[in-house]
Amino acid sequence: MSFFGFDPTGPPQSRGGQNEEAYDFENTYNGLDEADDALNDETFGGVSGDIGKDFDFGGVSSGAGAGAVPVAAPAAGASKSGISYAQAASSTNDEDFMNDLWGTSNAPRNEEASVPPVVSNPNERKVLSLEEIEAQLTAIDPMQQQQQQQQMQFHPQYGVMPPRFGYMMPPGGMMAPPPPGQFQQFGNMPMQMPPMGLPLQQQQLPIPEQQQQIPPQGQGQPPVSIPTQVIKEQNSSQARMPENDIPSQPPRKVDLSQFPVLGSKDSQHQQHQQQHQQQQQFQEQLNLQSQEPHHHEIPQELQQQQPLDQAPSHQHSHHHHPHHQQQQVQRQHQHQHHSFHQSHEDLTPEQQEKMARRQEKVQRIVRYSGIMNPKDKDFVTRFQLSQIVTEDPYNEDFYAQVFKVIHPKVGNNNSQQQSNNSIAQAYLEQSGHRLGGRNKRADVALQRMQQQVQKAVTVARERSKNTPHVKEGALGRFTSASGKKPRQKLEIISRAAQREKERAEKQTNNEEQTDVESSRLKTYSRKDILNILEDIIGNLMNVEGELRTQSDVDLDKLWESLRVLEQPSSSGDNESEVNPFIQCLSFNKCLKVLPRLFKFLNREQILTIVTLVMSNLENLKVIKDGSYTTYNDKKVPESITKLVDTYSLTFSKVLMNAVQDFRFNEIIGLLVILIEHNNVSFVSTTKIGLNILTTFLSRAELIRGEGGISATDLSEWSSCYDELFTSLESRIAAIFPPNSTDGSGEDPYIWQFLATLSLGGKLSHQRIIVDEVRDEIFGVMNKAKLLDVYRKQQLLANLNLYLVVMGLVADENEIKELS
Amino acid sequence: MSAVQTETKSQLLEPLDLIRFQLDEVVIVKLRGGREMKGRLQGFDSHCNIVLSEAEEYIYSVGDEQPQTKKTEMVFVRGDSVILISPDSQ
Repeated sequence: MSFFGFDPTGPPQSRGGQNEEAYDFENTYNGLDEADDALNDETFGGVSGDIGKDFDFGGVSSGAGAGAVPVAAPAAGASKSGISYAQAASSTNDEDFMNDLWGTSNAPRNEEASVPPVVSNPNERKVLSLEEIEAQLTAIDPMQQQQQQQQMQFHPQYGVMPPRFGYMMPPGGMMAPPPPGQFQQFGNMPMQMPPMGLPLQQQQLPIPEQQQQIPPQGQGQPPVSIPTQVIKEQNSSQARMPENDIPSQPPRKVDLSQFPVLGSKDSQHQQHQQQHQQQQQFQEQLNLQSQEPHHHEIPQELQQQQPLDQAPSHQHSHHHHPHHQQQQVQRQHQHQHHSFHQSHEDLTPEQQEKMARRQEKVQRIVRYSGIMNPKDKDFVTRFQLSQIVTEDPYNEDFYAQVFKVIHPKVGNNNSQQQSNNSIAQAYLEQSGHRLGGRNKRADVALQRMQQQVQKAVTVARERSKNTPHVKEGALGRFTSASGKKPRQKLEIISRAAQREKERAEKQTNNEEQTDVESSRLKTYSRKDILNILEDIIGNLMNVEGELRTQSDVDLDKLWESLRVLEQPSSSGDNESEVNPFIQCLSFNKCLKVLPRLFKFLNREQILTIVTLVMSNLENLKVIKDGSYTTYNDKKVPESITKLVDTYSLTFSKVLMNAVQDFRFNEIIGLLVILIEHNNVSFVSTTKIGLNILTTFLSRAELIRGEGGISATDLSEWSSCYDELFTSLESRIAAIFPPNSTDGSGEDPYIWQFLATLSLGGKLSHQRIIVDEVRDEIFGVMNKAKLLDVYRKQQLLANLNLYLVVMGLVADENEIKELS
Repeated sequence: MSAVQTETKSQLLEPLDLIRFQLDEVVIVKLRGGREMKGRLQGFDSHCNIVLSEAEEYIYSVGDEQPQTKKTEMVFVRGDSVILISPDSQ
């Protein structure tokens, strides 16, 4: 235990006594304004007003004349603990920490400076006293009562906290926020430095630290840094720890200058330098003064201690080794146990167990605390805030504004910034209470945090202006909706269109990939398709011709020419890569031969084709271009309507016949494929789409009506129906094309579809359907009034197709129950 | 429907296959004498005799801004007057 020529065997008391001569706290403290210190409450338990200049950090004597009897504190601490082991542990921890933090370049220095006995004494002292507090809180020991009182003076709020909590915190948490102003104050101080003969206040260093909370005004400091730092600390759940730490670990303060502040970097830098200069100044003076007297040891110590503080500010490297943290924690643990045993031998086993449990709990909690350093936290906070920042809070956060009007309390202390920072304040109003709004301390913390957040918001807003997309992938959820551009409720885009868009994006992003894709998938030109189609027709005519002369015809060739299995595809695939048969279906001549073609196909082949069509529904021209929603004037062009008509004459009939042969589970499977591969609500806006749905649904209903369906099939059906209904729900009214009817008889297909949909659904489904198409129903009835008898009948007949399903019937005047 | 037997099954394309692919599609036919026809191709043969349905005949003459049009339900175009057959690009 010999450090740089120190005599470790000497009684601690004597060392303490030497220290006394180094500083006089009384003098160093002059001129500092205690009243403005906002965090004094936190640090000293809300009695800041009464503290004055004579408070006693050693806690030896109760209040009165602490400065006058400073010797007693170190002496008592040293003699009481008397364990150099504990001292060593705590102070080497410091060293480890500092080494980690600043790299090893200044290691030799640190070694030299390690374990200044003077420092370790107060540390040890602190530990013990806090432990005692706890102990005495539970068991009132008259012997220790007096000390408890003394301690309570300073740490009443921390009574519940494990005393060394702060110490166990990983580096991030340990760096108590040093106010930039702090060293300025130091800079002023040297002139008032005490002559060496005066007793040393051991807490001299901590004292300036308390001053950190003094508002920077009047010290020429940009106001930014202080609140930010402080708040940052408070922001974390460990808000109290830094303060707890402060008195025993003055050196750390300096680190703070490194931290990024939300304000401008330049000012920060300047500040930093300024601060640094002042520090150096201070030190020089310190050295001078300390050399004047003839005690060499002490000044040396101080010097070494100082460099320790300052070195960090030169070397901006963070090295946090979990290993060290752990070591620290372990030692801390031992330490605690040690002091625990010492001071609580007189406790009952129960109490001791309680204490032990609590400590264990704390250890558990603390294990991962401080993994993020303040920089990290700041970063995260900024990102998260950037998501809730808007350019125009009054419009976009309308409800928040209204809330504020109703509850004017919120943020009225900041009326100037209110409009800017309303979100942050509202946000803090909610989250702030978690800090424990019931006591004063949390209020202070809350205020600080609000300031921090306000600044963060300002910065975030500036940034988000420039790069809105940076937000994407940020921590937390990316919200695309805002007051100006809410998430669309009704979005009918064909899946094909969607995928085309995605594909286009992909193409620009990654051309290689599309190269690979296109080489894997065959693309078909229009000529290819026409060729295939002529092939099909030729084969078909050959088969028909051969069939006239012989009964046995080879149909394989025809099936192969269809190329149904040549290339898999599904809705939304690139138009030229879609299965050729599907592409053929866009040609009139193919549709015309369909009925002839299907005659020569067996059941499996038909099922295969229908399956293919279902998964490619949106690739069909009649669906893709057949929806009124894709046209600006909401009207399908004539060329498409002609094709649609051909479809309903050919394809729909073929499909209807084919479906007659399908089994129940096959129909369910086809519907599921349809739902999976297509945007049902888009398909339902096309006539052919609705026809197909109607065909499947009505067939399923017929089979269900016949009975003899297994329970599993039934449950599958109901889930399939639910899925279908969910995808249609709230969009049912969209199946009615606007301006479609010029007064003449409306196509019955929509009412047919509604009828079958209602037929398959439960009462709740029917209710939803009626709700959504109510306007259409009355619209038809109103229209019927204006028409002549024949067309009126036709219109009402169509309407009644649907109403009858629910046991209703309508004439032009009213809807009655079906008699 | 097709007037032409499509017995040629080889994948090798013949010039006339280009016309075959346009069966049942709208084509534009240029004819001698400054005439042009547009219609749905119903059939053809190796002499380029052509049958068009829903046909429109455009007759261009000097001085006319717009060509005269003449609509025909179904028309037979003799092959020796055909200069060019192309799909209608719409």
